[in-house]
Amino acid sequence: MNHPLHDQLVRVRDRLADVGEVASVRREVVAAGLLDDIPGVMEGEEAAEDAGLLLALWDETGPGSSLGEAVAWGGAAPDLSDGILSALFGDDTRLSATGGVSGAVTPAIGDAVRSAAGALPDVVASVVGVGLPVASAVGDAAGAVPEVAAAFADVPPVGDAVRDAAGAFADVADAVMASLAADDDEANAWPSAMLDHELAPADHRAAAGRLLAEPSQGAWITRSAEIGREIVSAVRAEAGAGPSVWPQVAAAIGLADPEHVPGWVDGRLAEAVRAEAGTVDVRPVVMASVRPPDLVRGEIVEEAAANHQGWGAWAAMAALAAAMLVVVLPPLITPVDDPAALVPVAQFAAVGEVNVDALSYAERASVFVEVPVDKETPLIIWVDEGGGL
Amino acid sequence: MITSVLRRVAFVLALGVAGHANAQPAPAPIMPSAVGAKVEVEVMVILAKAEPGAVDPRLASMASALKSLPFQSFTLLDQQGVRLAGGEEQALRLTDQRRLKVRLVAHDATQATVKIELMSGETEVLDTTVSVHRNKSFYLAVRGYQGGSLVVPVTVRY
Repeated sequence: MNHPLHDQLVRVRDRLADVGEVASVRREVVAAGLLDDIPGVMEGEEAAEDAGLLLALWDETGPGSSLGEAVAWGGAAPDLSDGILSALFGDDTRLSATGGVSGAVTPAIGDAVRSAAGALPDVVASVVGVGLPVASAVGDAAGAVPEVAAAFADVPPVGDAVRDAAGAFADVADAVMASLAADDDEANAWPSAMLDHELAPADHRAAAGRLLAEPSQGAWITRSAEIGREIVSAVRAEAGAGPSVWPQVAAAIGLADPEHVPGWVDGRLAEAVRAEAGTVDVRPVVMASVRPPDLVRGEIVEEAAANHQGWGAWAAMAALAAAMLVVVLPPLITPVDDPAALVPVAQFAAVGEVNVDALSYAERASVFVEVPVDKETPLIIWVDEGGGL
Repeated sequence: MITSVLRRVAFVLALGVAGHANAQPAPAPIMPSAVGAKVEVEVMVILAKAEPGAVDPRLASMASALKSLPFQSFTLLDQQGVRLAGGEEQALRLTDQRRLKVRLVAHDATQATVKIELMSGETEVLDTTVSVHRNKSFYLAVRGYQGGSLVVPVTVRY
């Protein structure tokens, strides 16, 4: 579907989805986690501006509005109408199997969709400027297109369905906030900035050297990253993919050719939406929310050559080899076969006393090794088995 | 940004580990002396949670190690041990779904090398080989068990 209006609606829908699914908790956090997974659409500062725009849009419709939630719920669907239908029906095979909808009209569904879409004209239709009450049209389409199936008569109303679904996101976001604490100290941003290649070369080298000296910081970064990945996975798993029903919707709202919308001016929608919503830069808020509180503070002072290496995402196997200084200690106990001499508790091996010779892990798992940096910390192999195991 | 950070986590690890490798030459091997044929590999199974809570009194002597973990409550669920000769392997049950296969690769007067495989059902989640000084331990931490994580200190004793 390449029609400009369709594409614009998809973009609005997708971005609303980014913001909407955690409206009841910390939507900024989820937005940050999703931005990275929309390649080619949001990058860098533009991403923050786009996210801010969506946030403003969401606020415009109201955090609790069924419209926002319904659109958000259909975030993975190929167009706005799919989004709403996806909110209603999820991955119902009766939709996907036919490539469209089928069956008799269910008035309750039409009412629900109309109720959910009620706020849309205030935000979108007015800026489309072509006399196209999008939300009402979609609602009418859902209620009037004969193919909207009676098979869906048993689905709950939009609001209930979305609220039920949103529970999963709330749990995820709660987990995020339980794991992370707010910290607005910009001095703590350097690890992320380094990994995102946002530092000047000299600062990058210094940061790399500092990471060498403070490998435990990788753990925090990893945790944040894992949470973001989990949120994205959860959102996508929950949202699923919906079929394309745009042709039916377009026909229902009187468009003879779904690929042609009279009066459409390319870019007008985006401009008007931005004009109405304004610009909100959510990046500082997001970063403050996801940054762990105990990153090392202060300026980067160490100078060291960056040992930059590429890394394939989700590699099934990684080999780690480390040679550490051996500190020869006298034996702590007498050897072997005298049970009375066994050390009663585990004494962890400190730096120089333990070495990971090899390591591999399942494709869907995440593993990182927290190496000891002194005599007060153990070597820890952290394992996240992944949702698919 | 978050996801891209994850994809580079291993890079961070590589930096950290390689940094140590660059900083310190590999130690010269230490010849064995008076080493028994078998090594006891002990595994503790600890349920750790981030929420404030009690520390199992049986773990009191491990307080300094536990303090470095991002958890506030610790409950000792189980403690098992197997005695292995070189090349031998045994499986230990961690939870209903998880097992730990332990193989003694080698040992000398200073350290033992053990191969650890974490199994979740029939899936091998982790396969690692670790050399650790005798009578010392390293930790596994497995996320996602009963609202917390499993912390599994692995100790070689001989």
